[in-house]
Amino acid sequence: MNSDVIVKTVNLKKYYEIRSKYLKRVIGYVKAVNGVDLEIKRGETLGLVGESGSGKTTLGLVLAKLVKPTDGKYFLKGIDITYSLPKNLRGKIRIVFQDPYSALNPRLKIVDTLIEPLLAQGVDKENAKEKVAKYLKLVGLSEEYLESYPHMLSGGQRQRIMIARALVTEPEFVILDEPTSMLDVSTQAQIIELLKKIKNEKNLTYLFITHNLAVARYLSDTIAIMFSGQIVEIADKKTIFSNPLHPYTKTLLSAYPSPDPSSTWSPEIPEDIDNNTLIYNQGCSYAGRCPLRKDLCLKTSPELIEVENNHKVRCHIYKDRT
Amino acid sequence: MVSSRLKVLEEVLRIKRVRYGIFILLSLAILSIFVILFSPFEYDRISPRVHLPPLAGSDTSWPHILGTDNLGRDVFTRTFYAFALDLGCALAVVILSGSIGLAIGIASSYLGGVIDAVLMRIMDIVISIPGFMLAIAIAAVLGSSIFNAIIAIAIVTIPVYARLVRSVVLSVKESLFVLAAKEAGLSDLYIVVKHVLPHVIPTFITQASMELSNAIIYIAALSFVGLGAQEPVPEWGLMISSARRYVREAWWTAVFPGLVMFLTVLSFNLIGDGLRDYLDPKKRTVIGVQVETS
Repeated sequence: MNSDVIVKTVNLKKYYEIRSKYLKRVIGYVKAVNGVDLEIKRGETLGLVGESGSGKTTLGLVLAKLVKPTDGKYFLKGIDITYSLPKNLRGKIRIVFQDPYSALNPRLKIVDTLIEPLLAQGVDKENAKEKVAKYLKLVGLSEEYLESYPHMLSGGQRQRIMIARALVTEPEFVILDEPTSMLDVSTQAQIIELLKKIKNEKNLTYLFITHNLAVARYLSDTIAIMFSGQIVEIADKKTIFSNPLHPYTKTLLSAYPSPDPSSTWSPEIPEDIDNNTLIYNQGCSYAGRCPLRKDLCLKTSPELIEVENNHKVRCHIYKDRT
Repeated sequence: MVSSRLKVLEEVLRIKRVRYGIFILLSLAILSIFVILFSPFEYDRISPRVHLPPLAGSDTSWPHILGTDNLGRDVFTRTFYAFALDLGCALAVVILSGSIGLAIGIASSYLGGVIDAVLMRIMDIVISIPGFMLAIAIAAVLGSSIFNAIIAIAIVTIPVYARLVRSVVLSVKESLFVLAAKEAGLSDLYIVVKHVLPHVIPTFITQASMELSNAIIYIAALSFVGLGAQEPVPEWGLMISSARRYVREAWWTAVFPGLVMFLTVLSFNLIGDGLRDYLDPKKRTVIGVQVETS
């Protein structure tokens, strides 16, 4: 394994138990994250794209160490941190949440919110305040905001605060969980530019979780498509857009309107067949919707296979091509 | 922070009910302080001049403003001594049961699992027994004194706070800023103190102000049945209890303590009610008009 891989997961799983109503017996599992293998290199931005309920946020929470995985391994810089985080790595993984409106405690001043991660690491209050002021400038806010309360700030300003809060511990890996989806379009652009600028300045590694392909395309180096808790396709962004292989990726891309006004938009909308019969089955999780479904797809789940250099896809169709 | 707190105070004072409540309470308190400091009568001095009607003259510079009781004691003086005593006892009850209830509520909601289940079932048991019956039972077991009455009433009212605090903590616990605090690496204790408690306090204070009036009624009731204050302690319930035999001849001995008690309870209810409306956005009043949202 080469040394510049900073984040690596092996077969990472997070299952939530479904319990019966009265006896609370386990009657099944929601496989929110179902065997994810990722490798993110230092300085790379991995865009994680998927529909609602595909498990991308759960994956983000597992990677942020906020949710314990059910199974699998998680390495940061080659150190196994699946179950515990060594002291010297605390604050090296941070997350920016989707909703900046509820992520800030309305009763705390901005400065108090910002110094918390530093206090947690044992930095004394005065030093923490100095450091925080520096980071506030980095995200483009002036020092006077330190004394204000969250309700005095706009959504964009709040998200800048959350970004500063993530950066104060000098992280190496930052998880961005749809950081712009709650903001209006003009603010989105500013936040994305800011994230890009900071990344280059601080040599950060990002996992950018989004359902917006345009944003993912702009910010990411590599794009992973997630469906039903699994990575179904992963490749660098040019390849994904020019040569999508997985039927789900194709559907996603066709649903993405072209900015050219003269082109007519005719997305492929596959017919959704009865998914319930498939949920607990052995087959491919996408088989229910797949327009190219074969008998094999209902029986066995495909593996993630490398079709071209650094282009992996989880689909039976490409089995013979390797 | 200071300025925002002042603003809250200003907004609360703008609510009419709260203003009336505070006005009544302050008037009674000032009267009570005045009586304790300057009254020429002692609350427990017996004299042969029994059952004098209100405004009857006395051998001091003050008349018997509210008359005298069956032992010739000044009703006005005793009633306002009792204001201080009852208020003090009610505060003791609320502080005692409030702090225990707060601790139980937080422990229950934060630790969850078996501890939560056990604590809440105990609270259910306490709540399932009619409050006054339980208070009488406890006070009877502990023995009749005002101190034991306070303990009995405190025990009975703990579940109210415990359940309230638990429900607020459970909802605050799920909020994103608590998750964000966890993500920052903060300890559970720090999160409870700094992030969860401030959101519990407003509801808690509102409940406490309502419970103050409850506690006053409970103390008076226990004293009335002989399980609280004992003679010659000036206490409303006890005063009414000893006056009840002579109500036909000397109505003032029962009516005035009852009236002052009523006003005190009313003022706390007004304040509590106003505070609850202020804190509950669904019930916010706009220029005095109740807005229906549900």
